[in-house]
Amino acid sequence: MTKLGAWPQDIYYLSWMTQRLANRAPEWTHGRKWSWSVMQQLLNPIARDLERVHKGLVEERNNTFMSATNIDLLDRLYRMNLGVGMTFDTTTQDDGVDIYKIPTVYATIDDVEKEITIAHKNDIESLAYTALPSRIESSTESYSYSEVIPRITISDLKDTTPNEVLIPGHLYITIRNNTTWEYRGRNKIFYPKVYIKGTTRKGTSHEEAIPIRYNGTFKTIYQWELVEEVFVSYLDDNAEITIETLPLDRDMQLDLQNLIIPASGDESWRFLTFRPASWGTTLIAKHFVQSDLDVVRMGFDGLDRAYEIELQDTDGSSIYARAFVIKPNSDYTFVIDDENLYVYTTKIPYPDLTVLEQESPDTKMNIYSDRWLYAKEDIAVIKTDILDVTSIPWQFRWTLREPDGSEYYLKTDGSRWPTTIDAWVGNDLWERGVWNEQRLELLVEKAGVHIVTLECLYSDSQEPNKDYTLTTRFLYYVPVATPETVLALPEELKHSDAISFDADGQLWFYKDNCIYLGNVAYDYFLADYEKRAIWLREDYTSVRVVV
Amino acid sequence: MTTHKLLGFSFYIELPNEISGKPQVQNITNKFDLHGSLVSLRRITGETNQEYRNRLWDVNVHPSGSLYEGVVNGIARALGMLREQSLYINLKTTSSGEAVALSPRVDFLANRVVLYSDWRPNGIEIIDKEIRTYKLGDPGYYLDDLIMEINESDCFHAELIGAVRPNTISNTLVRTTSNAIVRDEYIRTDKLTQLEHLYIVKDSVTFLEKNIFQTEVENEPEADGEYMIDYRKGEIQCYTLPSGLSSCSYYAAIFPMRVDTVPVQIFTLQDDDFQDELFNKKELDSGVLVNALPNTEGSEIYHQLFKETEVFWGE
Repeated sequence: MTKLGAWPQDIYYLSWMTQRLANRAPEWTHGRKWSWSVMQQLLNPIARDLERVHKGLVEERNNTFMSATNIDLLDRLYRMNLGVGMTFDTTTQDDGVDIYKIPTVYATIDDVEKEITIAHKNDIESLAYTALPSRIESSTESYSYSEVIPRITISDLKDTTPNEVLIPGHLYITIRNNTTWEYRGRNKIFYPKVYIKGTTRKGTSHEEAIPIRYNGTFKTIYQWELVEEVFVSYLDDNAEITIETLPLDRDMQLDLQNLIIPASGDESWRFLTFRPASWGTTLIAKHFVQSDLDVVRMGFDGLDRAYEIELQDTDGSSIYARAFVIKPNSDYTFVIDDENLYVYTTKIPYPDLTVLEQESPDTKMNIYSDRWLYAKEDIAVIKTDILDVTSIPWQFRWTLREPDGSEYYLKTDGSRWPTTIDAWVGNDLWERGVWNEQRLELLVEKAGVHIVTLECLYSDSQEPNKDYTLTTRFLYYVPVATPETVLALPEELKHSDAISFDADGQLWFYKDNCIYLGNVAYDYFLADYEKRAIWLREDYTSVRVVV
Repeated sequence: MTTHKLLGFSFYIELPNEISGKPQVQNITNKFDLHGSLVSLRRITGETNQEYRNRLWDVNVHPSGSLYEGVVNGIARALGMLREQSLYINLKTTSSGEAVALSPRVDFLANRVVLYSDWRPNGIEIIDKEIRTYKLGDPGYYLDDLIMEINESDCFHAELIGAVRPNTISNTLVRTTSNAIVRDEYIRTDKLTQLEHLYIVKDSVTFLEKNIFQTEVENEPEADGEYMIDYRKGEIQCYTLPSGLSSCSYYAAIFPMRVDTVPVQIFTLQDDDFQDELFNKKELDSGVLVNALPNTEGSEIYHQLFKETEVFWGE
């Protein structure tokens, strides 16, 4: 294992597309088999672009079916033409080229005139699809919440009458504690299924069978208006089932990363779960690669990476999040705590490698660890590995650089010294020419990039009194995400226990056994300089444009 | 305020640099419009994806066509007004759980609702209650009044369902009947047959195998060719075993009955019930009622029609 040989597999985002591309290489090639070969490193950035292309294809495929068409597609904009004789103001740059000046736009929101900002890139993409929410309001709409089937065991299901479907849409079925996943008949295998019978949102009678492949939450394909009957096959009697209008009872959310998962399930996908801790909250992303559903279900093998990502506020403090939801058809995850709505990108965070300084090229000491990714409160174990037994350092010094930039010397037991004192540790066995491999145990206290430096002091055997130092460095990372934007929740939506999107793309907040509709607004404008108009996403009562 | 010098003139005009007002909504064509064009249903200005999708779904549920219901469905949908269930009608039962009506039937006509306690295809029609719904003064003009009237009948019970307002006018009810015609239902090789429907209309059942179903009896069949029908439960019991190759046809009353409302309504001038509302009546010597001169509403409608379309009498 070389010094930089190990980290990228763990912390650099390796696209699942890379292996697909590498599979085009002949079977005997090294690059095809090893995911961190030079060939795959080269392919990876291209693969990441291809992943986006693939995402577009998947979305287009869904859009060919009316009921599966992305409901968040841009459907209407509000247009404000400039007055007669008005044009957007221009300014002449140093090179003599005229460019338009961004107009100032004020919109009346709740009877108050507020300035709104231009869309990030002044195009449709950033106005409609990648825009961050700028405002959240509570709507008057709210319902007393009841699950269609509250959490019960399968044996009790037959005596239970389904409740009313509060918001017509897809239903979410959560299964817990099931253990048997297939029954083998003489020439057939039977898998667990849940059947829903009733009236769909279209107004037609239907019966849908939902195959259950692991303990988790599953979404129906149909949108339901009324559930008359629910029955199951081949599920354990003591397994638990919940059927809900909004997936409020789910423990984890499947992030398909825009993949088509074939029946055999052989690509990569990830599950997101939430872990509240005493100091904040983390989001755990578990990636499964090249595995099938049986492997995911059994929980062994196939688990490629698990990131535990600490959720932070913009100022770097931890947040005590209560719920999260992946916003469909977007790259954003919405997280709420008691007071705010945080919007994070769903990208896996990536460490800032620029803080890793060069180590001595001829270093005679290696340092390594079993892992490169840690979560807060973990113990990071760092070990030395001597590369040249003929030169033994007679003194060494450990330094730790924390994510906030502060530096400490470390004692051999992992405790800290300030950098003002002499922290060199003598090698007692130096005179005998022996090096005892060192082992440091560090409690992980902060999120971000940690750098451990080992400086070894050698004396030149040829020239007495000529000492020299060689440094070795090691980086370990505690994944952390900072929000793209933070919005204060209105009073009615504070202290909610869960959030979820319905089939119409509306955001619902659950608290005190009720669900409340939250209206997320995007106050941005697009300046159409040629057509002398501005375009807006929200329906304002009045807009003022100053050019 | 920016000032612009107009070339060729020696004066300046001041142009405004500010405008305020209410922006105009403009739809952006997306995939839903594509799906819409496949079923010839355009987006209404300002309509969201969600609303539009509801109408697109409706295309296959309430198909449009050239007959009464198709025209109503089509026009209503194109105008963004969807058909929805609003009235629920069931049979009143005696203390023993049997329906009061012998052979029930409910008809929603152009100007009235007719509740039959006994209706048979052979001409027997015993009307339980008839509720007029066309004019403002009619007892069943509004839905809640209509429901009250139906509930006062001997055999039927009604209530509002869905989100319909109680003061919706009854003219928005889609004209329908509770009776369904079952043309061809398979009969298994079994002495006891359970039909697909309950409330089979009396005297409406005909069998393909006339020799097996020869004589209808009141009690348990005891000889070849005898059979008994339980009209409430939809059960047929026969003495001779059917071949399993035949079928029967019958009328069935579908209860509970659900009636839709739709804000678009179509009246046909040829409809006798509608003509009742447009013409004064004259009794002939033979005692038959015929249409005389049109009343105020009738004349207005005919005048309007003659103005808009060319009508040639006698063709």
